[in-house]
Amino acid sequence: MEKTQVVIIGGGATGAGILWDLALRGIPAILLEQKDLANGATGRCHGLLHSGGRYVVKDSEAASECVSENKIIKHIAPHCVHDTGGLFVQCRQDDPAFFEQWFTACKKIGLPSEHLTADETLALEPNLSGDILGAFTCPDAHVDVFQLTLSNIESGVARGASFKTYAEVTAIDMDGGRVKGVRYRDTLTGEQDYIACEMVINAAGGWAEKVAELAGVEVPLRCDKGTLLIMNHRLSARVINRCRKPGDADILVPAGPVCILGTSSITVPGPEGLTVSPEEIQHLLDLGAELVPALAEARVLRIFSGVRPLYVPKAVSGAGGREISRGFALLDHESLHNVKGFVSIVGGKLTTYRRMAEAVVDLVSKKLGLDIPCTTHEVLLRQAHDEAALRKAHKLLPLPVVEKLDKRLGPNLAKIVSAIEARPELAEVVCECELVTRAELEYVLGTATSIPAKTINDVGRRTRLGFGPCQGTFCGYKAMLAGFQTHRWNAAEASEQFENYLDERWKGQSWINQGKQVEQLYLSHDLFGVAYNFHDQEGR
Amino acid sequence: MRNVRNHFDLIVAGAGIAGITSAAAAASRGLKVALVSTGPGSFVLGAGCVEVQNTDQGLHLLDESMNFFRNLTTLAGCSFRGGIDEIRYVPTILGSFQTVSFAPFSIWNGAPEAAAQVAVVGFKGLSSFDANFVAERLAYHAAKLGKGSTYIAREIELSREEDTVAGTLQFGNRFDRDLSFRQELLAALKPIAAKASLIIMPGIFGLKSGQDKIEALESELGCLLCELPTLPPSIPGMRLFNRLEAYLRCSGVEFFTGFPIQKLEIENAHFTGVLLDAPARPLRLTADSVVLATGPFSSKLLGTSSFSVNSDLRPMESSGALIAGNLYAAGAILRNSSARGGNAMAILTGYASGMLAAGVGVQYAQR
Repeated sequence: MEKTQVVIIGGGATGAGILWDLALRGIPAILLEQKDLANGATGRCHGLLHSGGRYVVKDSEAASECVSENKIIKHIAPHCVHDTGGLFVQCRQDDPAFFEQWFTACKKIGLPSEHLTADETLALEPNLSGDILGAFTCPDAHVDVFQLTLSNIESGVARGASFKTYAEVTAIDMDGGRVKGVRYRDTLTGEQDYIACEMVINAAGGWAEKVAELAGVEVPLRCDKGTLLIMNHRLSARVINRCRKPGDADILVPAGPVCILGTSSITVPGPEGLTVSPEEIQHLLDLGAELVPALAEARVLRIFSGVRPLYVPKAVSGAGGREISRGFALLDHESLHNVKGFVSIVGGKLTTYRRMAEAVVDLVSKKLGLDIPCTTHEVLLRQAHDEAALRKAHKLLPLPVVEKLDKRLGPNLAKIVSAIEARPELAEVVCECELVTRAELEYVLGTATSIPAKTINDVGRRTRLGFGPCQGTFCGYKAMLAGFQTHRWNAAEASEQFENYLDERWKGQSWINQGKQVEQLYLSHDLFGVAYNFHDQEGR
Repeated sequence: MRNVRNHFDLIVAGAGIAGITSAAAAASRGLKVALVSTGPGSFVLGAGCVEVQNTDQGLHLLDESMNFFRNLTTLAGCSFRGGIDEIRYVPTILGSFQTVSFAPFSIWNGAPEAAAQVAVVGFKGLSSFDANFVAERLAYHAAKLGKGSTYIAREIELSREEDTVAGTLQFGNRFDRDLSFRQELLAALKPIAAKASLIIMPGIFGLKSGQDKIEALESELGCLLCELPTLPPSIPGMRLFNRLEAYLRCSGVEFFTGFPIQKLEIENAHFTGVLLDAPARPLRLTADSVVLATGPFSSKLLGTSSFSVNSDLRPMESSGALIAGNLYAAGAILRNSSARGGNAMAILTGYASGMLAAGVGVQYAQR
């Protein structure tokens, strides 16, 4: 049995941000995540660091939050942000009155924007439809959601906090209306354990309602599904928004070598078992092509859905998904339900994760009788990289590999460099799309990192391995062997890992019904489907 | 306007197993055949193993077409073993067993009943293969199948040419042209063969070598050899393609490789020729008939997303009218997205289409 002051439930950006904030304020904490870090909505979104433009007309409070958080994240986590800038494009078929409204609203909350003519816009973004009227600029950016979450955790751990992945909370232990601890189960080993604590923070996103039930309280959530399409190429240099009332498929985010189109907004019963219909995909592509015609012909790599866990107090329960505020709600269950030591943080969005964490930790420290100010807005999430290691890396590896490694690993690059110096064969590039070396693969599978990967999908979230066109068909196999060779898994476990991994990768492609990616999927099936006897489970 | 040089009795489009078999069948009946393709089809992915199952049509032709194919591979120096009633377990790089009915002899060898003492051999520096992993999994699966064979893992080191990495393609290439490499391989395997009756290793036995070279190695080692196709490109598959291609060239088949089909010319439900996307200008080939064996994603060549075929493999429009009276389809282009016919269907329909084009009255589906 372990003991700590605060237990956080949920390893998305918000939970990770809370862990980091608590660690900075010196409050002992343990984070429990039922799967892997950034596995829920955090890892299933656009990765858009909002400028606020999206909400500026309808929800100026949420927009203002975005304006300030956008600046803060760019300052504290530059290694996670690709500061592309963004455009709000004026389409001929949209309401011109909205353009005016939008620009005025931006001025009002201090969101920096300039107007560009159609020619100026097309000079910047030649893939946009030639039919546009012009565009407004904004400081939108792409943020690597996995890096952001992992960096918060890693920094928290460096300051004494801890976390457990694949740890599902099974009970919240109460005594006289006060939280005493949590029981959890390791979903990989089946082992159960208990952590004694004074406070529990529910940051479980789409699962927050379920977690709250464990404490006997009700947190009304609306799960709003958004489907996103990852396209094979980067079709724009900047984040492309459609300047109109928020609707489907009106945001295209350039994300490294690919771009992500989304989303839809469909109410679903819960955060699991999401499906996508061919009509939904076609609808997104058709709408997207109005903005960027090349989308009609582009290759879809993968399709995925996440849920926005929207907080729905009874008063607005009749509203549709897009009408509900993207603001967040901090629920003090002591004042609401007379449950002491339990708070929930719900709603909100990736861009405001830090502010949400700040608000929770302010409340929690007050309850713990502490008065320590928040500093997450100024303390950099990661130490500066090691210049000497970087220079060495340039001698050992090709330039693009070093650039990616530097962004992903920062000061830990030194460990990769010394590993390659000791064993030159580790310089092999295992994932050719995302430029992952064998050294990095062994690093995330080993014990030298504070956030080790336990599954091949975890490896992907740490290194982006398998995120390119082959979707893990080639590099996933090599990752399995690396896990076997580093003794992360024995042969039977490695084989099972790979089967689960292929299943997950295939699932994300199975909604795609045409084009080159279907051929890629068939290739993967032909290579491994027979070997795994997917058609004859008896033989396995 | 008929250009004699560019006119053929039959054009076969696609050089996968179906296209190759079709061209071979037609050529064996004396047809002048052109084989047009973008490349070696699915040969680069696998080893050409055939599993006779899910072939619900044309079963009466199965024996005949498999015999034809087996004969073809023997003539081409890359012979297959097996039979339509056989089920044999052969190993994969995942350390599992795959069931096959026909396979190249060097893969057929790998069944657990073939040997009691098996050594799985990896090469130092070849990172996409792990002998320990494969040996451990094969031992597990063999025990599950009730076979008593034991599996041990071994690693050998092969010299590399300067500035090359260890890769099956490099090793395979040297196997073909470099006698000293084959001697080095023999020397490295000898001590392992002394204690094993079967050696399983990643496929590196050449991209075009004949089976005599592999058999020579086997007899010098005094032990069976089984090669595994690794992640693509598959060396056993490429060798099979290269052997079959060389044999067909000798039989008079002309190859037009590397050129995608730009257009299939069909006039009044009659095929006249193809336009190939060749360098500088399109290349036009004409023929009396055509077999489309262009793979599972190619039905757009027929201007449709799906079609059915009549009893002699001729694609029909939804009305039942033939798209062209002298156009046949073979191989994976016939499979709808859920069916799995694999290589058995490819050989069967390839053979049938070639025979039909040659005017031999076989029927694919029995009426």
